[in-house]
Amino acid sequence: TQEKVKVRKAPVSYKSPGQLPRESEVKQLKIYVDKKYETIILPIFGIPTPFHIATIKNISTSVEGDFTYLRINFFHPGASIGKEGGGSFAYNPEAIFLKELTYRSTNVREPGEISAPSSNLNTAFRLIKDIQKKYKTREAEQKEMAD
Amino acid sequence: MDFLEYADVSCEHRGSMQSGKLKLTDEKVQFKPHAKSGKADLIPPDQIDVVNWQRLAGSWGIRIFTKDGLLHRFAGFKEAERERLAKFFTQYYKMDLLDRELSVKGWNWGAANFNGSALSFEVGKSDSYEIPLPYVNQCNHGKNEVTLEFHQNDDAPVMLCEMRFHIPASELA
Repeated sequence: TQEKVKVRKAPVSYKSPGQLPRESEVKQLKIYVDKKYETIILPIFGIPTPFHIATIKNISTSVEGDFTYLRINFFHPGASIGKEGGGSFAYNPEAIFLKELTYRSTNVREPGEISAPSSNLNTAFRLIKDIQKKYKTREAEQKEMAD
Repeated sequence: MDFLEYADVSCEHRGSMQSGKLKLTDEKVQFKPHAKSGKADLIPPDQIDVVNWQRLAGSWGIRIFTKDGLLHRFAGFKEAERERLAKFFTQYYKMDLLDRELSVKGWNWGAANFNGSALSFEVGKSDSYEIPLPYVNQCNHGKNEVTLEFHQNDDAPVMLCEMRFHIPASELA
C-alpha cells in the first residue's frame, strides 16, 4: 500500500548552537524572528527556544484591556498534520507535541521606554506572517516541480 | 581562590531575568538581587544534586538542580568563566560542572521528562526548554491534551501565559 502523505525529513533550524542569533531581543527574552534561518526564537522560562517556521500552523493576536496577546499554534498529530501541506514530517509516534503557546505583553509604555512592551509581539506577528508566506510559496513551488 | 563573586549576573525567576550579585563560597551559593523587590536565593552546597554549564537568556549560565528537586539558574557569564567555575565546583563542592548542550533543531515535538519539580523537554536527543513546575498556576487535561497555565509575572517583557501539549494515546494508557 502506498502512503498518501509523503513523509519527509523535518527541516532543522540550526546545525550548531553557534548559529543562534545574538540580537538584544534574544538576551532580553523577547520574541525574535530569524529570517535567514526561517526560525522563531521563543523565550521559555529563560531559554530562547528555536522553532522552525515549518512547525507553525497559524498565529493570532488579540488586545484585551491593557494587554496584547500573541497565540502561536503548531502542527500536531490529529486534525492538522498532513492537511494544508504542513507538518507531515517524520516523527516518533510516541512524541509529545507542543500545540500552542500564548504570550502576553502590556500596551502601556512606561516613562523612558521608546515603545510599549507589546510592540515586540506586534512586530513578531508581522514578521512570522512574512516568513510563513515565503516558506509556503516556496514549498508549493517545489511541490509543483516534483509532481 | 576562597570564593567567587559576580557583581552583575541574573537569576531566572518566572520567565524574567532579575539582575543581582552571585557569590560562591565554601559554605553557600548566594544570589542577592539588585532590586529590593527581587527574589534572593541561597543554596547550601550539600544540597546540590547536579550543576550544569549551559546557554541561558542569550549568554552562558549555570544550572543548579538541588536535591529537593528545584531549579536555580544564573545567566550572564562569559565563556571564559567556565574553567574558573568548574575548578571552584570541583575544589569546594566536589562536583563536576557538566556541559549541557541545548537542542537547536527547531522542532515542536519530543519527549517530556519529569525530574523533581522540573519538567524538561528533549528534542532530537538533546534537552530543550524546561518548565519549573512551581510556575504552573493551573493544569487541565482533555482528550490527548494537557494545558498548563502559568502565574503572572509583569516583570517579563513578554510573559508566557499558557502552553498546550498533544499527548499521544499510548502515553495516556
